[in-house]
Amino acid sequence: MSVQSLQPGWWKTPVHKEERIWITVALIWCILMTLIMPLWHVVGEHNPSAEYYRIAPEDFDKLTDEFIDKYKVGVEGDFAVVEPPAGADIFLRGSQWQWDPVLKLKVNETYRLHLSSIDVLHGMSIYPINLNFEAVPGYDYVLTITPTSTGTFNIICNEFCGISHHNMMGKIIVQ
Amino acid sequence: MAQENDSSGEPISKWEKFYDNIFLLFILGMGIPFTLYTIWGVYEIFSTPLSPLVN
Repeated sequence: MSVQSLQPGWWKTPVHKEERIWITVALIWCILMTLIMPLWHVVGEHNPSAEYYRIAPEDFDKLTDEFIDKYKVGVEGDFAVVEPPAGADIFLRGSQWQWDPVLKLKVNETYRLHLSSIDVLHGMSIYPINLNFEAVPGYDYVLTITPTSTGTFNIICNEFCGISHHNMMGKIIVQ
Repeated sequence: MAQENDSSGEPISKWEKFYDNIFLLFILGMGIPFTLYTIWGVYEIFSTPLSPLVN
Protein backbone atom coordinates (compact mmCIF):
# COMPACT_ATOMS: atom_id res chain seq x y z
CA MET A 1 0.00 0.00 0.00
CA SER A 2 1.32 3.40 -0.84
CA VAL A 3 0.97 6.47 1.36
CA GLN A 4 -1.14 8.15 -1.27
CA SER A 5 -3.84 5.86 -2.59
CA LEU A 6 -4.62 6.08 -6.27
CA GLN A 7 -7.97 7.56 -7.06
CA PRO A 8 -10.54 5.36 -8.83
CA GLY A 9 -10.10 5.79 -12.56
CA TRP A 10 -6.26 5.93 -12.41
CA TRP A 11 -6.01 3.43 -15.29
CA LYS A 12 -7.27 6.06 -17.72
CA THR A 13 -4.83 8.76 -16.54
CA PRO A 14 -2.29 9.42 -19.34
CA VAL A 15 1.32 8.58 -18.51
CA HIS A 16 3.51 11.68 -18.17
CA LYS A 17 6.01 12.28 -20.99
CA GLU A 18 9.04 12.02 -18.68
CA GLU A 19 7.77 8.72 -17.31
CA ARG A 20 7.38 7.41 -20.84
CA ILE A 21 11.01 8.36 -21.57
CA TRP A 22 12.26 6.55 -18.46
CA ILE A 23 10.17 3.45 -19.22
CA THR A 24 11.53 3.41 -22.80
CA VAL A 25 15.13 3.78 -21.63
CA ALA A 26 14.68 1.02 -19.03
CA LEU A 27 13.05 -1.28 -21.58
CA ILE A 28 15.81 -0.75 -24.14
CA TRP A 29 18.41 -1.43 -21.44
CA CYS A 30 16.62 -4.65 -20.41
CA ILE A 31 16.54 -5.87 -24.02
CA LEU A 32 20.23 -5.00 -24.49
CA MET A 33 21.30 -6.80 -21.31
CA THR A 34 19.25 -9.85 -22.26
CA LEU A 35 20.84 -9.97 -25.73
CA ILE A 36 24.34 -9.54 -24.32
CA MET A 37 24.05 -12.80 -22.32
CA PRO A 38 23.81 -15.18 -25.31
CA LEU A 39 26.02 -12.90 -27.43
CA TRP A 40 28.81 -12.90 -24.86
CA HIS A 41 28.62 -16.66 -24.65
CA VAL A 42 29.54 -16.78 -28.33
CA VAL A 43 32.10 -13.96 -28.56
CA GLY A 44 33.50 -14.11 -25.01
CA GLU A 45 36.58 -16.29 -24.66
CA HIS A 46 36.11 -17.64 -21.16
CA ASN A 47 32.56 -18.91 -21.08
CA PRO A 48 32.25 -22.64 -20.49
CA SER A 49 29.79 -24.63 -22.54
CA ALA A 50 27.24 -26.42 -20.47
CA GLU A 51 28.36 -30.04 -20.78
CA TYR A 52 27.09 -32.07 -17.88
CA TYR A 53 25.90 -35.56 -17.15
CA ARG A 54 24.11 -37.40 -14.40
CA ILE A 55 26.42 -39.57 -12.32
CA ALA A 56 26.01 -41.23 -8.93
CA PRO A 57 28.39 -39.70 -6.35
CA GLU A 58 29.86 -43.13 -5.59
CA ASP A 59 30.62 -43.64 -9.32
CA PHE A 60 32.34 -40.26 -9.52
CA ASP A 61 34.28 -41.15 -6.36
CA LYS A 62 35.41 -44.40 -7.97
CA LEU A 63 36.40 -42.71 -11.25
CA THR A 64 38.47 -40.15 -9.32
CA ASP A 65 40.23 -42.91 -7.36
CA GLU A 66 41.04 -44.72 -10.61
CA PHE A 67 42.32 -41.46 -12.12
CA ILE A 68 44.56 -40.88 -9.10
CA ASP A 69 45.92 -44.44 -9.19
CA LYS A 70 46.73 -44.12 -12.89
CA TYR A 71 48.54 -40.78 -12.92
CA LYS A 72 49.87 -40.30 -9.39
CA VAL A 73 53.39 -38.82 -9.30
CA GLY A 74 53.70 -37.88 -5.63
CA VAL A 75 52.01 -36.52 -2.56
CA GLU A 76 51.61 -33.07 -1.10
CA GLY A 77 50.43 -33.06 2.48
CA ASP A 78 47.48 -35.45 2.59
CA PHE A 79 46.79 -35.23 -1.12
CA ALA A 80 47.96 -37.14 -4.13
CA VAL A 81 49.61 -35.16 -6.90
CA VAL A 82 48.63 -36.35 -10.37
CA GLU A 83 50.18 -35.49 -13.70
CA PRO A 84 47.87 -36.61 -16.50
CA PRO A 85 48.89 -36.48 -20.18
CA ALA A 86 47.58 -33.68 -22.39
CA GLY A 87 44.08 -34.27 -23.68
CA ALA A 88 43.21 -36.65 -20.85
CA ASP A 89 40.01 -36.77 -18.86
CA ILE A 90 40.97 -35.34 -15.49
CA PHE A 91 38.94 -35.38 -12.29
CA LEU A 92 38.54 -32.97 -9.41
CA ARG A 93 36.51 -34.20 -6.47
CA GLY A 94 34.91 -31.89 -3.98
CA SER A 95 34.08 -33.32 -0.57
CA GLN A 96 33.75 -32.08 2.98
CA TRP A 97 36.27 -30.43 3.24
CA GLN A 98 38.82 -30.90 0.51
CA TRP A 99 39.49 -30.65 -3.19
CA ASP A 100 41.49 -33.58 -4.44
CA PRO A 101 43.73 -34.52 -6.09
CA VAL A 102 46.35 -31.82 -6.72
CA LEU A 103 46.43 -31.45 -10.50
CA LYS A 104 49.71 -30.90 -12.32
CA LEU A 105 48.97 -29.66 -15.84
CA LYS A 106 50.99 -28.45 -18.80
CA VAL A 107 50.59 -24.93 -20.10
CA ASN A 108 48.76 -24.51 -23.42
CA GLU A 109 47.53 -28.12 -23.39
CA THR A 110 43.84 -28.94 -23.34
CA TYR A 111 42.17 -31.22 -20.79
CA ARG A 112 38.64 -32.34 -20.05
CA LEU A 113 38.10 -31.52 -16.41
CA HIS A 114 35.35 -33.50 -14.70
CA LEU A 115 34.09 -31.67 -11.67
CA SER A 116 31.67 -32.98 -9.08
CA SER A 117 30.99 -33.39 -5.41
CA ILE A 118 30.47 -36.63 -3.52
CA ASP A 119 28.48 -35.15 -0.64
CA VAL A 120 27.03 -31.63 -0.62
CA LEU A 121 27.10 -28.64 -2.95
CA HIS A 122 30.54 -27.04 -3.25
CA GLY A 123 31.79 -24.08 -5.26
CA MET A 124 35.12 -24.43 -7.05
CA SER A 125 36.75 -21.04 -7.13
CA ILE A 126 40.18 -20.79 -8.74
CA TYR A 127 42.45 -18.03 -7.49
CA PRO A 128 43.95 -15.60 -8.32
CA ILE A 129 42.19 -15.76 -11.71
CA ASN A 130 38.71 -15.89 -10.13
CA LEU A 131 37.04 -18.62 -12.17
CA ASN A 132 34.01 -20.10 -10.46
CA PHE A 133 32.12 -23.34 -11.09
CA GLU A 134 29.58 -25.31 -9.11
CA ALA A 135 30.38 -28.85 -7.97
CA VAL A 136 26.98 -30.47 -7.66
CA PRO A 137 26.55 -33.98 -6.23
CA GLY A 138 24.97 -36.28 -8.80
CA TYR A 139 26.25 -34.24 -11.77
CA ASP A 140 29.48 -34.53 -13.73
CA TYR A 141 30.29 -31.02 -14.95
CA VAL A 142 32.77 -31.29 -17.83
CA LEU A 143 34.95 -28.26 -18.50
CA THR A 144 37.31 -28.18 -21.44
CA ILE A 145 40.22 -26.20 -20.09
CA THR A 146 43.49 -24.93 -21.55
CA PRO A 147 45.77 -23.29 -18.98
CA THR A 148 47.43 -20.33 -20.66
CA SER A 149 49.89 -19.31 -17.94
CA THR A 150 52.18 -21.17 -15.60
CA GLY A 151 52.00 -21.01 -11.83
CA THR A 152 50.20 -22.38 -8.83
CA PHE A 153 46.47 -21.76 -8.69
CA ASN A 154 44.65 -22.27 -5.45
CA ILE A 155 41.12 -23.59 -5.26
CA ILE A 156 38.80 -22.53 -2.51
CA CYS A 157 35.19 -23.40 -1.84
CA ASN A 158 32.77 -20.52 -2.27
CA GLU A 159 29.56 -22.34 -1.31
CA PHE A 160 29.14 -22.74 2.42
CA CYS A 161 29.42 -26.50 2.95
CA GLY A 162 29.69 -27.02 6.68
CA ILE A 163 31.76 -26.28 9.75
CA SER A 164 35.17 -26.52 8.02
CA HIS A 165 34.18 -24.81 4.78
CA HIS A 166 36.88 -22.17 5.23
CA ASN A 167 39.60 -24.85 5.27
CA MET A 168 38.51 -26.44 2.01
CA MET A 169 41.38 -25.76 -0.35
CA GLY A 170 42.97 -27.43 -3.34
CA LYS A 171 45.62 -26.73 -5.91
CA ILE A 172 46.30 -26.76 -9.63
CA ILE A 173 49.92 -26.51 -10.71
CA VAL A 174 50.58 -25.42 -14.28
CA GLN A 175 54.08 -25.98 -15.67
CA MET B 1 -16.69 -4.12 -2.05
CA ALA B 2 -14.72 -2.53 -4.90
CA GLN B 3 -16.00 0.68 -6.39
CA GLU B 4 -17.65 0.14 -9.77
CA ASN B 5 -17.41 3.70 -11.14
CA ASP B 6 -14.79 6.44 -11.04
CA SER B 7 -15.40 10.09 -10.04
CA SER B 8 -16.71 10.93 -13.51
CA GLY B 9 -19.22 8.10 -13.26
CA GLU B 10 -17.53 5.90 -15.88
CA PRO B 11 -17.13 2.19 -15.14
CA ILE B 12 -13.74 1.19 -13.75
CA SER B 13 -11.53 -0.72 -16.19
CA LYS B 14 -11.02 -4.46 -15.56
CA TRP B 15 -7.23 -3.87 -15.66
CA GLU B 16 -7.52 -1.30 -12.91
CA LYS B 17 -9.50 -3.76 -10.81
CA PHE B 18 -6.87 -6.41 -11.51
CA TYR B 19 -3.92 -4.22 -10.50
CA ASP B 20 -5.76 -2.98 -7.40
CA ASN B 21 -6.18 -6.54 -6.13
CA ILE B 22 -2.91 -6.88 -4.24
CA PHE B 23 -3.69 -10.34 -2.87
CA LEU B 24 -4.34 -11.69 -6.36
CA LEU B 25 -1.06 -10.09 -7.51
CA PHE B 26 0.74 -11.67 -4.54
CA ILE B 27 -0.67 -15.13 -5.31
CA LEU B 28 0.23 -14.82 -9.00
CA GLY B 29 3.68 -13.47 -8.11
CA MET B 30 4.38 -16.55 -6.00
CA GLY B 31 2.48 -19.11 -8.05
CA ILE B 32 3.79 -18.36 -11.54
CA PRO B 33 7.53 -18.56 -10.67
CA PHE B 34 6.91 -21.62 -8.47
CA THR B 35 5.14 -23.45 -11.30
CA LEU B 36 7.54 -22.44 -14.08
CA TYR B 37 10.72 -23.12 -12.09
CA THR B 38 9.36 -26.49 -10.96
CA ILE B 39 8.57 -27.48 -14.57
CA TRP B 40 12.01 -26.26 -15.67
CA GLY B 41 13.72 -28.22 -12.86
CA VAL B 42 11.87 -31.45 -13.61
CA TYR B 43 12.65 -31.04 -17.33
CA GLU B 44 16.36 -30.52 -16.54
CA ILE B 45 16.49 -33.62 -14.34
CA PHE B 46 14.98 -35.88 -16.99
CA SER B 47 16.76 -34.33 -20.00
CA THR B 48 20.29 -34.58 -18.52
CA PRO B 49 22.06 -37.57 -20.09
CA LEU B 50 23.76 -40.25 -18.02
CA SER B 51 27.55 -40.05 -17.91
CA PRO B 52 29.14 -42.08 -20.71
CA LEU B 53 32.02 -42.89 -18.33
CA VAL B 54 29.78 -45.17 -16.27
CA ASN B 55 28.63 -48.51 -17.65
